[in-house]
Formats: sequence, structure tokens, C-alpha cells
Amino acid sequence: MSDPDQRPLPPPREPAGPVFLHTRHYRQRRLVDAIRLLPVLALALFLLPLLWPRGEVADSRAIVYLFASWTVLILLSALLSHRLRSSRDSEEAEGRK
Amino acid sequence: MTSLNLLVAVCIAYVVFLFGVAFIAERAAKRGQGGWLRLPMVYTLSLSIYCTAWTFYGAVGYAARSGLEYVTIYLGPSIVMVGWWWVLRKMVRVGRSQRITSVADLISSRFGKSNTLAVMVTLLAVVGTTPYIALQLQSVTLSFATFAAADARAPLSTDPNSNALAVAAGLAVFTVIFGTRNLDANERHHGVVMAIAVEAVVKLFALLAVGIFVVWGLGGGVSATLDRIDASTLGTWQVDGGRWAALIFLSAAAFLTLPRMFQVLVVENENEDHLRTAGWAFPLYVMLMSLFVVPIAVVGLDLMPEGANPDLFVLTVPLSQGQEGLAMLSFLGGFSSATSMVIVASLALATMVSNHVVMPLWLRFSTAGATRSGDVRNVVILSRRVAIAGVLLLGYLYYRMSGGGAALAAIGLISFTGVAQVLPALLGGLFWRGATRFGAMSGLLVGFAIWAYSLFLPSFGPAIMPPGLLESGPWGLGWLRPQALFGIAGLDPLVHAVLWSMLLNATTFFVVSLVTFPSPLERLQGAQMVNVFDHSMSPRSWQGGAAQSEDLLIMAQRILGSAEAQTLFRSEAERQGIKGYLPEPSPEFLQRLERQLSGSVGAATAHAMIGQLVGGMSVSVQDLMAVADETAQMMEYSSRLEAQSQELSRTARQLREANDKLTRLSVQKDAFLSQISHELRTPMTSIRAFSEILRDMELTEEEQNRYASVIHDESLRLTRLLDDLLDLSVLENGQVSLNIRRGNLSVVLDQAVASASAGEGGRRLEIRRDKAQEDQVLASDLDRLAQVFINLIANARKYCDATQPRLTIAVSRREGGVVVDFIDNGSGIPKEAQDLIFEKFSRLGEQKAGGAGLGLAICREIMTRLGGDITYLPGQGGAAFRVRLPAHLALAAQ
Amino acid sequence: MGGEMAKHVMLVEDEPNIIEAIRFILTRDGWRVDTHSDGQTAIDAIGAANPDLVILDVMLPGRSGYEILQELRERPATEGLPVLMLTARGQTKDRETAERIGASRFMTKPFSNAEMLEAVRDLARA
Repeated sequence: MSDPDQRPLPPPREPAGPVFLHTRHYRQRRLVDAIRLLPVLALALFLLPLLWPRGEVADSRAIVYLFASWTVLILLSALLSHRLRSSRDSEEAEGRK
Repeated sequence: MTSLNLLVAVCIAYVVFLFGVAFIAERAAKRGQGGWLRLPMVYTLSLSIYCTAWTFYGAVGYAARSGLEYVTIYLGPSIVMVGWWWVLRKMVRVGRSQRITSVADLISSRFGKSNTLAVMVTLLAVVGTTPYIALQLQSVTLSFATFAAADARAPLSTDPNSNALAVAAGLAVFTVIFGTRNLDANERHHGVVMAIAVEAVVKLFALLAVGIFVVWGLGGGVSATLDRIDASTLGTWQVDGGRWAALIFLSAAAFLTLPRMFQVLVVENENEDHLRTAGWAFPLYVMLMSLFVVPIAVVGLDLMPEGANPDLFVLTVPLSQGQEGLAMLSFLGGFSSATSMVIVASLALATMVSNHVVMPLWLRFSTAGATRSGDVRNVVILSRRVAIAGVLLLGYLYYRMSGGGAALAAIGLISFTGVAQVLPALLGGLFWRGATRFGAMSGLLVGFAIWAYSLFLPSFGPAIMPPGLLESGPWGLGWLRPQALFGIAGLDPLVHAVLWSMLLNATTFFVVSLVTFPSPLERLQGAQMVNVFDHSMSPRSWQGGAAQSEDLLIMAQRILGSAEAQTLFRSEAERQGIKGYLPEPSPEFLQRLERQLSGSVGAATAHAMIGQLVGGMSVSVQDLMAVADETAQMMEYSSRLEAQSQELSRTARQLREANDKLTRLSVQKDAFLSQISHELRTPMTSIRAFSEILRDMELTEEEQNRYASVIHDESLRLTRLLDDLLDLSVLENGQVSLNIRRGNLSVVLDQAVASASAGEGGRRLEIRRDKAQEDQVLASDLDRLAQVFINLIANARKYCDATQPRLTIAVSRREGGVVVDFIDNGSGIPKEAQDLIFEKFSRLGEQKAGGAGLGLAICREIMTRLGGDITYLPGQGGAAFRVRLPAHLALAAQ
Repeated sequence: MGGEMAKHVMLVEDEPNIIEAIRFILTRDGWRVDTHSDGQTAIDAIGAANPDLVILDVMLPGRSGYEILQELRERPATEGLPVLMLTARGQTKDRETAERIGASRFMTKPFSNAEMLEAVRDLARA
């Protein structure tokens, strides 16, 4: 509970974790990275229409684009969180051995 | 035509159904059943209160006016949900570990439990939400009116105001019943959540039904509908870029800060893991909700007469096509959207108002009351109920005053912008430890002021904000024009307000935070929240009413140990007349507990822990747990050490004892060797001396005879000694063969007494016996048994040092066997010698009493062979030996 | 030996048969033999009898022969009194203890009568 802003030196503690992770842990971290990046992708997809010239893009195409990218996001999110759980589960199973 | 009466009946039936759902969920939760209440899908569906009547009806109207812009309202939340790992996960974790009850509570908690901040956020929330509630009431009355207009038989004067009032009253009743059943602010409202989950399904289903009807029933399929869209007035992408970005940002911000969203996202969250599901399922839900909006709008614009309110297309399009069932469903969808939003919003607001406004005031003005917990409880419940009614009344009054004319979407976005002012303080508080209370307060004030000035007040029209002010600014200061601040004109008013309010809000927050210094509590809380994932344990479910007591119990268990803590809690619960282990945390009990804990962790720590757990939530429960854990670990470690050292000293003691025994045995053995040597050499000395005398000297006949008999006696003595040694050796080696016979114990004792007394004229020993008791039939080696008895009697005769030696032989049946006690009235055997007397070669002291110290060793061997035992019986006054004969050797007396 | 006054031997021993044997042997040799069989009172008995020689058994009821010898050696009247120690415990340790305390002669039971006589004569002569 100490305030790092007040500390002249980093706290003397054990390294936060091993430098080299088990492959499974490594995978899980990259999975979390992917989940972290998802909103960035969402923002990019949803702000893209800003570039469209007004009055020239047919509404039907805009609708198809928006809903298609929306669907892609949903699928990606579902896939990633599903894999996150299964990797977490298997990790727990591993830990319980 | 659907009669209005039927609509009212369906409506009432639906409400009754919702009450039923809420009731069943509530009951199941109370009984601890209802795992279905905690499904991630229920959580996801409960989030759908984001989609209010504004989105149900208003989205189509919005699309009819502004094309695809409406979709931003859903895109923002979708981005937030997809990015759940960033913000929501932290919010939920902080909410759980700090037991946050509302967004105001979170902000206040983060900035050192500042109630001023909480009041500010509460005020902001009330101001921002009231129009929104009005909006819902309006949508319900409007949809009623639509049906009424279509029903020829309806009474001509359907008063929309009375409808709105009825709806508001009904919602108040529902919210009061299911929202304030239990006191604990942390507890989730399963009934409410389940009802809104059901409503979420109804509204999605309704909107999809209308959409499918429009696309495939009226529009002629997907591609035909798309063509129709392109051909319509909406035809091309007309969205203003600034509005597009601003609205996505705004809806994302509002999704996080709206009191009702915070309620379902954080407070009602059952399990952090549910976010994982909601992360994709909620975007899916809102995508489906918005999928058919444009088609409905386009088809509505085509079909409906000029000037028809596009906000009601969802209802009027099916009605105009004679699809009354569909219209009814659509009505229920809109009704669901409105009611679920109002219920949760009023609940969330009521919690804030009651916790941050009413309770502090009440506590300040009732000095005596706070000691009685029942008082506080009643006040909290009452204040919350009144607050719910008050919030709904406020909404109703707003609806009446505004006249219900404005386009629905406009109010929604204004409301969003107001509530979004909390965002900088919220995110700053969660992610930046440098954020301070003053920063948060000034940011909020600035943002709120700009919002009110540039957006909220102008929305009331000329009555509140005179046109002159809008045109030329206050006192003619052009750069202060509400909708063109700092001279930047030409922006959309909404974008303008969002831009300036958020920008200045965030800047003020940041700058003031930089130049001010946080209080210790703020810094502590800041560290707790920003580093919540380092501090808190894995998510733990909040339990219901007894949560606080349970936390106390968990903590107490960690400090006092399970058994002791449970006993303490149980006895207190019993005293309070409560079953189980969880008493009310009454002041007396807390004092008692504190005293108990201070015994283990010190008074100051105990006071702080109890204070933090029960009073302010400035330190998270989990952190206290961590402290308690450390303490417990330390205590456990030290007690283990203690145990180990005890173990060691026990072992050392045992070793010492064994060593002592060995030493004593060794001394005894040496002594015995001397003794046996003495015992052998003494008769041999006599034998040798007299035989030399006989050989070498002239003796009289009498002398010859006498010396020969001495030699004879001494030879016999030698033989006896050797016999004893041999006997013991045989017994020890197990080579003895037993001669089992049946006989009476009394007879055996008679023989023993007789032989022990033979030839012992000198010392007189009185022997007391109880013949009746001795009448026991045995099957044993009676000769060996007699040998044991003889030895014991002879010992008593030899060693009993009383002036009038007396030996009591007591026989009793015990544990199925027969016990024979030999108790004399001498001084007994000293304690330190008691464990040695049965050892071979052992003799008490140096005194010479004729035996070689083998008697008791032989007795013990014999008794072991016979399946019984012989023990020394301490505390009987004199020396006491107990001979136990096993059950199978001791037959019942016949 | 003839007419001179018979030498006086004090025998401290608890075993009746051995007392009888030693008394017989010494008496035949012309010694006056007094006996005492209790360790507790042996010192006083010796003091009272004022013998020329003491035959002292080690294992006595009440008090061991060593203790008696030690006390005798501590008393001026008896510090030079010849003491023949008898023991049935044939360990070297016993002999050493006896010599350290100041036994004039040490004999292990059983002994031959001639041995006994010789020792008594030696001690009395010295």
C-alpha cells in the first residue's frame, strides 16, 4: 500500500515473474493482448466512415459495412474470450495436478 | 381493431407477469437456489436497459431524420464492451473489492470518501436522469395514445397525463417492492435483474419481429429493402463527421457513467467472469436491436402519411398494415424498454440520494440514534423508498412541465452529455494515482457548468434561455455565447457542448490534480483502486444480507482460528436470537469482537480493522484480509515453531528419561552383578570355610553335624538362587510351558499365603482377605499364579516397614477379568523407583533382604505368559500391586 | 603366643554362618572375637570394644562398610586401627575403593581359612 510516487527507489522485491514463460502462459498473455487490442480495432472500423465523402456512399453499402464489421468484432470477441477461458481452465487443471 | 381495453388488460397481465418473475427470482435467491439467476446471459440481458424506449421507438425516428447517425448510440457501448478488459474489468473489480453502491459512491470512495463529491455526482445524476425518466413516461403515454387514436370505441378524453401518472406510480410500487426489500446496499436485486432480463428478451423479440415483418413482409426481402433504402431520402451517407465521432464517444462515456448502467454493470454484477460473455453478447444484442432500424424508418416514411411521427413508426407501421398482434407485441417491447429503464434508474438514483444525501443529513441531525442499528436500518429503507417515489415524481413533473413535445432523441443526448461529465473523474480515478479530490471536483463543476450553459438550459427554449443570450452572449460578450463558446461558431450545438465540456472538464481535472496534494486517505484509496489487480484477491461473490457479519467472521477466523471465531460468533448470534454463525454487527458485538481480536493483533490494529470493515470502506476488505492473512501466517509460523520446540523438548525429555532409565538400569545392573556375586559368594564363603574346618580341624560330633548342616543349607540357598535365575531366563525366552487347570482363586491364594508364611517365623504379617470375593473360578496355570502371589506376599513381608505390617488382598471383577490387589500399609515404593521395580536385578536400595531382585521380574514375566499383567498401583497408602487376569482366564463364578 | 593376653578382634558382619565360621577359626587360633552385625551402630560398638583389629564386611544392613571405615579413619582414636575388609562383590572397583579409604587389608569372599588367619596375624603384628 505504499505510494510509488513517494519512493526514491523501486521496491526491493522478487522479480514479478519469470522471464521465460511456459508456452501456455505465453499463449495466454498474447490472448489477453489480442483482447486488449480489440477496442482499438473497433474504433478503427467504426471511425473509418469519417473518411467517406458525404452524399456519395450509398446507404445500403454503409449499412452492410457497419453491420459486417460489427459482426466481425462480435465473433472475434466471442472467440477470444472463449479461448481465454479454455486456456485458463486448462491452466487451472494443470495447476491442480 | 384492438380495443384499448384489451391493450390495458394485456398491459396489466404483462406487469403481473413481471411481478411474478421478480417474485420467483427473489424467492429462489433467498433460498439459495436459482443458479439460473447467476448466468452470464442474465447479466448480459440486464445490461440491455441501455436500450430504453428512446432507442426502441426513438432510433427509428432518429434514422428517419438523420440516417445512420442513430447507430453511434450503439457503437460506443459496443466498443466499451468489446474492450471490457480495459475499463469494465477494473470497474467491476474495484466495485466489488470496495463494495461500491453507485457511481457517486465510486467517485467519492476513490477521492478519500468525500461526501461533497458524492453529492455533486448524485446531483448531476438526478439532473441528467430526470428528463430521461420523463422521456420514458412520455413514450408510454404516446404509444397508448397511438392505440387510443386507432380505437374508435375508446373514450374520447384519454388523458395522457393520468396515464403517465399511473405508469409512474406502478413503476414506483414495483421498484419499492423489489428494490428495497433488503437493506444491504451491496446486495443484488435478483428480482429486478430477472425482470429486466425478461423485458430485454421481449423488446428484442418485438423489434426483430417488426423488423422481419418490414423487410420480408413489406420490403420484399433483403436486397429489395436495401434498394428501397438507397432510393429513399436517406439514400446516401449524410452523416456529419464531427457528430459521428462525438456521438460514439458520448455513448461510450454514458454507457460507463449512467447511474442505471453502473447499477447493472457493477453493483448487480454477480461474477467478474460474466464480463467475458457480455463482452461479445451485449454488442450482439445492440447490433440486433439496431439491425432493422433503417428499414423500418424507410418503409415507414414510404407508407405513413406526411407528418406522421417517425418516433412511433415501430408501432404505427404494423398498425397501419392491420397487424394488430404485431403492434401489440411492439407496444409491449416499448413498454418493456421504458419500464426497465425507469426501474433501474430510479433504484440507482434512490441508492445515491439515500446514501449520500439523506443518510449523512440524518446522521448529523440525530445524535442519539446512531447507536441503535435498527434505527439506521429503518431510516435507510424509508429514505430509499421515498427517494424512489421522489425520483419518479420528479420525472413525472418534468414530463408535465416539458409538455412532452420535444423530439425524444434530443433529450436523450442532452442527458448523455450531462452524465458523461463524470467520465474524467471516473477514468482518472481508476487509472491515475495522481488524481485528487480537488481535481475531480473542479473538473466536474466546470464540465457540469458548461453542459448546463451550452446544452441543457438552451434545450428548455426561450422561457429559460432568452434568444438574445444565445445570439450575443451574456452582457454582450460574444465569446460566451452558449453555443459558440470562445468564438468557435458553426459547430453542431451538441458537438460543441460535448467538445468544450469534456475538454475543459478533463483539463481542469488534470491541472488541478497536478497542483493539489491528495490527503492520505485519498492516496491510500488511489493505490487501492488503481492497483486493484495487485491488491485484491480473485473475485469473490458478494453474499446477501449478512455480508458484513460474514466478512467479520472470515477476518476473525483468520486471526483467532476457525473454532474460536465460530464459537464467538455463534454465541453472539444465540444471544441475539439468530440461528447460525452470523449475528447482527451490533455495537456491543463489535466491541466484544474487537477486544477478542486485539488479544491477537494488538488493540490499534484490531480497532482499525473493525473500523474499516464496519465503518468507512476506505480500505478494501481484501486488503484487510491480506493483512489478516499475513498476521495469521506469522502467528501460524510462530506457533509451528513453538510446536516444534515443544516437540523437541518433549523428545529431549523422553531421551533424558530413557537415558536416566538406562543409567539407572546400568547402575542397577552393576549393582546386581555385585549383588549376584555377593549372593553367590556369601553361601560359598560359608561352605568353603566350614568345609575347610571339617577337613582340617578336630571337631566334636556335634560340631561336625552342625557345620555339615550349615554347608547343606548354604548349598540349598545357592540352588534357589540359580533356580530363580534359570526360571527368569526360561520365562523371558518364552520356553515355558503352561499347565492350564481350572481352579478357584481362593484356593490358589490359600496355598500362596501358606507357602509364603512357611519358615518365616520372625516377622509377623497380618493378611486381610475377603473370601466371598475370592470365589472366582479360573482356568490358568495355577502353580505359576501361586508363584506370583507368593512373591507378592513375601515382598510385603520383607519390605513392609509398618510397625504392624498388614497386607490386604482384594479381589474384584473388572472389565470382564479378575483383578487381585495386594496392598500393604508400609511406606510404599517411591515414585522414581516405581518404573524400575519390575526390571530384572532391581532391588530397592542397598538393603539386603534375602532376595536377589528377581522376584517381581519373574512375576511380570509370568503374568505376561498368562495373558494378564502386574502393575504397581500408586496412591494406595502403601505398596500396592495389581494382578490382572484376562477375561478368558477368569470364568464366571459357578 | 602362650600366656600373653589374647588379641581382640572385632568382626562386623551380618551373615550368621560366616560369623560362626570366622569366630571358630580365630578363636581356635587364640583370638578374642567380638561380633556386631548392624552397620548403624558399628562405630560405637568398635569404639566401645577398642579392638586390636577390625574385620569389616562391606555389605551391611543400615550402613556400608566403606562408610564405617571412612568414619573410623576420621576419628583420631581409630585412625591407625588395622581394618581387614571383606567383600563378596569381587570387583576391582571395590578393592580400589577400600584401599583409597584406608583399608589395611582387603579380602574377597570366599577365602580360605588359612588366608584369613594369616591376614589377621599380619595385621595384628604390624
